[in-house]
Amino acid sequence: MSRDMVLMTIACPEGTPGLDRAAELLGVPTAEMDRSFGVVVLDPQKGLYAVQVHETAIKERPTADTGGQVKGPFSNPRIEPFGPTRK
Amino acid sequence: MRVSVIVTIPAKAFVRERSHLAFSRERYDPIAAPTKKGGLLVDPAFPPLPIAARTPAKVRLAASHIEKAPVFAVRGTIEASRIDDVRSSGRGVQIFADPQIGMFKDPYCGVEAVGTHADVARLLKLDQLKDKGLQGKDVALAVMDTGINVKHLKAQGLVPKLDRKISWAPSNIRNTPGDYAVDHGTMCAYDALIAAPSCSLLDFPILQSETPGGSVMAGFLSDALLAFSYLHQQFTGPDWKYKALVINNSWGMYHPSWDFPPGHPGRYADNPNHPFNIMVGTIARAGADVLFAAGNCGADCPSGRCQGVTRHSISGANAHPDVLTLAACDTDGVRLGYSSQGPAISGMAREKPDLTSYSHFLGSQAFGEGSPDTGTSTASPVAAGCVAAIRSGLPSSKVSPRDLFDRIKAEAQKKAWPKSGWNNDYGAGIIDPLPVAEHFGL
Repeated sequence: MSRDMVLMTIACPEGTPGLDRAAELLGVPTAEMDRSFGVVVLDPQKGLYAVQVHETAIKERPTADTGGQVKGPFSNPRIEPFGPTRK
Repeated sequence: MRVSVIVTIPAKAFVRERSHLAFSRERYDPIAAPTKKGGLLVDPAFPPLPIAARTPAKVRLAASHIEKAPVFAVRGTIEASRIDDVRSSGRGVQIFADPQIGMFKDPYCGVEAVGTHADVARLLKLDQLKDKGLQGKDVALAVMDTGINVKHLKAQGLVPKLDRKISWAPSNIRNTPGDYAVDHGTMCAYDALIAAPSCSLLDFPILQSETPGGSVMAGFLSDALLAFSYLHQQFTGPDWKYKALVINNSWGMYHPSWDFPPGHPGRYADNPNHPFNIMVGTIARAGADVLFAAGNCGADCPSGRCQGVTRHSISGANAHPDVLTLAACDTDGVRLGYSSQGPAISGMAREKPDLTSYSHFLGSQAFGEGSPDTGTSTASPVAAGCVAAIRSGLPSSKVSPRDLFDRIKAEAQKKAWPKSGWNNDYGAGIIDPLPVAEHFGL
């Protein structure tokens, strides 16, 4: 997972979308999606999913009314142990 | 319930006489109750003490002596529900609280271990939980960390069970559950096994990510998101075989600069709608018990990684309303000075930490012989082990995580300082699993 990927959420009430459908909802080409991350189920009851997509693709996509289906980008901060480590 | 009270009574000749005799160490007949209302009982061992005035403004030095004092104080007990009866008696008798007091020790900031894992087991009354058969059997305990080293745990005398099928690793890390280098994750696993030696460990080395830009023992929140999503699928899938799932998280975001700036809609620290915070809520609603360490940014001796930020430092999922957030104390019950204090960041659950658990004791020795297990990193898995132990007799299908956490907080050993009830340092108090088990009839 590369740092130039950004974290986005999509709402898809009809069921878990594939990468193609997720890309369509985001308004970006499928090639811009992070395949290793895939489509992560966040809340199955609300049909809410997370994906990662190239930051440049999100910035360059045409302005479109997604009807609130797409949100992001979200922060993906570094996380560390709350205790000692050897390194 | 009878409560201890301090009672002031108007000066009378016989009261002055008994006070004088008490202070001259001569024998005297204790005074009787100054009123029959309320069932007040006076403590005969407590001498009547001269009080110089009823209000500070009227205090005169001369009036502080037995011969001149207008009021005397005695100690007694009374039914709490009948205190108002005495107040209305109209005989100048007044009732005041006589709270239990204890010596407040400064938070511990030393490097030496305070006690051992055996002390922790004694404090948690684990022998009695063992007698009840509560040791984590058939409960899965996921360690979201740097990975577990089973050989080290065995070398410490433990007999750990590891479920290799459900364990998971980021795609760029070799998936070798139980065979990672001895480090923070092994310490956490050891600490969880103190109370739940029969649980099944699930190994999730999310802090081993080699994501570009990350330090060696770190990861990114997206690693945790993937791990939680995978675990949620397993937990809610048809092949799930455990009574319960407990997830320990001894990690977090040390400094706000790692996040988007305040006010950004995609920020993590104070945003319940961040994807990871949504994921945590989803898995908790599905019945998993999720525990997070509060952090090591306590005001007395914060970790250097806090960069001096010690206020509202409990943030993100560590301050999620559906998780149990752990502060840390030593085996003397003294708060560890690095343990992050509440209230949590605005926007998340403010009353964090929820609870305190033990840390800074000689345990896993994962960092060398004689090295203590430290940080809220240790407090969280100690508590997670307690939850797993209780869950071995109380599946989440019977009692939800929220109800169990509420009971754990209700049964915590209360810390009256700095104030009663929830407080910034200890939350609801120090974890005490035995009365929780008894409450649920285990």
